[in-house]
Amino acid sequence: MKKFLIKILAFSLFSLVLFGVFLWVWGFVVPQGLRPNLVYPRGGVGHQFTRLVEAKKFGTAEVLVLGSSHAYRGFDPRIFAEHSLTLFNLGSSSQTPFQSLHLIQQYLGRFQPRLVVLEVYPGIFASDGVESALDLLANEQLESSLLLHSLRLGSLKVVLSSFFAMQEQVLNRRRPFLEDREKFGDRYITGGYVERIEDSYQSQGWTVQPLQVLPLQWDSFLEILSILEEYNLPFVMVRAPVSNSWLAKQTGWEQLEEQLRTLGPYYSWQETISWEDSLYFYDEHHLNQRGVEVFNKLLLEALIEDYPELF
Amino acid sequence: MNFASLDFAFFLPLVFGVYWALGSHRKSYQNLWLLLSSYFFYAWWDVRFLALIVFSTTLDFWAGQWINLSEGSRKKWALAISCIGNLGLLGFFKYYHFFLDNFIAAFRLFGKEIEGSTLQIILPVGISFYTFQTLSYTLDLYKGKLKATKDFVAFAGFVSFFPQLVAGPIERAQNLLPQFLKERKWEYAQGVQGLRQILWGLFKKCVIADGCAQPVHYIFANSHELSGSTLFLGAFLFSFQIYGDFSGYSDIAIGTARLFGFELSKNFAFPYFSRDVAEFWRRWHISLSTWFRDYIYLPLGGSHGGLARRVRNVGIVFLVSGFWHGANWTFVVWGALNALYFIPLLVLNKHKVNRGIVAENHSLPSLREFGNMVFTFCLMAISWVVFRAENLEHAGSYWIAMLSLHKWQVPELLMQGSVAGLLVMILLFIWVEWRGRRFSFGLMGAIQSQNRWVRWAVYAFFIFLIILFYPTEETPFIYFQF
Repeated sequence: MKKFLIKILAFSLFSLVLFGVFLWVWGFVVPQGLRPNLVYPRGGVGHQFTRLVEAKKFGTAEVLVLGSSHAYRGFDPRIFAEHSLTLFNLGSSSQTPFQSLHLIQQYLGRFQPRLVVLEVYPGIFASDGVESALDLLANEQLESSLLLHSLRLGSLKVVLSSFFAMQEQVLNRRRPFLEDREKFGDRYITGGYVERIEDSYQSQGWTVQPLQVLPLQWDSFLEILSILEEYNLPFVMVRAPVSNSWLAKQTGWEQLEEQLRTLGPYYSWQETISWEDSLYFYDEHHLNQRGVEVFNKLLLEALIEDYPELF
Repeated sequence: MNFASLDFAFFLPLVFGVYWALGSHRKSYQNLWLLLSSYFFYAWWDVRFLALIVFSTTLDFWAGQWINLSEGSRKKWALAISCIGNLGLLGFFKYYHFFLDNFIAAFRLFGKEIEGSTLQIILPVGISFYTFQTLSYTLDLYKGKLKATKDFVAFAGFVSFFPQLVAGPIERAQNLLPQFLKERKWEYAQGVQGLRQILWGLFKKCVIADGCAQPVHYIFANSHELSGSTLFLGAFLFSFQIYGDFSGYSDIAIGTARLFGFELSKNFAFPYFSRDVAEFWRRWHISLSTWFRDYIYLPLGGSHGGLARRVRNVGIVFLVSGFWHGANWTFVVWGALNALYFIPLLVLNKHKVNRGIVAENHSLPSLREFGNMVFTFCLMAISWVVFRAENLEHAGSYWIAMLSLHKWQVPELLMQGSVAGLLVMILLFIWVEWRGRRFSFGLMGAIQSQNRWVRWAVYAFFIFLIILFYPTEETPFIYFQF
């Protein structure tokens, strides 16, 4: 038995070293289909790489936006600039409050905003946050705070991708990467915004999941609010409109909205005007540029009224 | 508790450590520890299920004592009580709704509407396996093949031994019970072999079976709108899913048992390298096939008597085997279809032609052997369609679309990187299994006559693949539902 246990220990050490080598080779050489749990979307959908590079040299911004794709596809800095407001959009694909919390801890000091906009698409409260964690690991400069934060998710995909990212960083082998400003029918606009070039409405056939708010996301959201409170920073919660066909399929949104309204200023123009699907959206829940212009105008009108000191 | 879960990764070392710490000279303490661990393992699903296994164990222990002490009609009564008790339990929990629904449907045919009960019955995990295992004890006692044990803990351990409790191999009392009654000594080689087999089983389950699960689910759920070639891909992938899932479970079970000094029966012997259907059935779910052979086929007369009688016996065994798998007509038709495959070989007396290992002294099969293997695999893949289908109508439409060769095109799913990656893994799997076909499990072929460092690198590589492909959502073993 002693021999058995010693051999097990020796093999564990041996395989740990080899595991690192396999991971390293596999991550570089093998296509995604052969590594389902090693996801490393450098660039990816949503121009996260370009956004984070820009974020580090942008300077201050009066308005900082956080949230999922509804954020980076819904708040156009050019429209805000018309009202002499600098806006930076730190939204990213499937960003949940768990990642927003990390981003706000990292970037609040850098941007020194006068107002924080939290885009609160209900789905982000029900998401496990893995997709967004992988997006951040692949595109953000790897620091211990990001690693530790991501590992808290307890996802095998996140663990493997973290190891891979760590190896890249430690061995100083992070491949140079240049992201096209136009890709996948999107155009990156300075300030973190992504404009849809192809804006005709096309259903993606996404399936609807029942909304079940995860404690991790809810607690992270509350933590964000307490940080903002600590810095005495005003914030607004905004829900970008979604298509009527998408809205009709949802359940449980009203209850969540009621809860959110108790936490602070909450804006939604979903019911205020008629959002015709084919006119204002390019898929089930993302506005096209025409929709963004209407939506941003409504938001700015509300901000002028509620936060005149900003203007 | 799923073998491929973190729970089991904590459970197994704990049970293993305490078991050997008790010392092999304290056999009865070891048996008690195994029994408690097995009950804990089973209760992990639903604590209520424990009552059933305790009932079944007590009934057969008592029936065994009675059979041992009695002669004539009393002995028959004891056996009858054991059979009625076990099969009654199985019938109620597994087949109640099936019979009720068919009863109602039959009445409806004659224009009579009757109300069914709304009784909610949960199918206890592994009930088909342990009832057959414990039944083998009383049946063998009745036939005088073994003596009844007076050690209740050892007997209860035999019925509920956690490595094979929920999905086999279905052990015979003649093989497993004596191992509970004798002292088990730790053997290094056996322990290492156990770990190797667990590793290979996990690869089969996590990489092959779980990798196939998602595309298979998609193809079967959308079969009405996919091309024939995609449906064939679905049948192909399901063939590997069910093999990887079930034989993977068996490998983990046999490997785990080895860690405790037990030797379980072989359950799979590279069935997809079979050259005809008869050979396939000698290599697939061996513990169930031999159970049916010994307790149904042979008592019916076996291969004695005329051809008609032999055909009848084979037909009955396949139908019962289909019905054993589940309370659905799809399984019955699956059994019947396999009988149809088998009977021509029986009639032509060619069902015992291929008994050895294919291409035993060669690295590759001959063209004829290869053709026979592909043909047999295709027959089995066609039969797996009805096994997987929701109902007979679904299976029928799937078969028609799949076999409409004029509708074939490059399968849409092949364009997806994940399916292409999965096919690479299946090729690797086939290669390892082919190299290992002379051994008790595939991985041995990849490591035989290699030095330690190469062997360790191979193990580490398969561990890496398991982690790389480990499903993000826990997927239970398919055979748990049987």
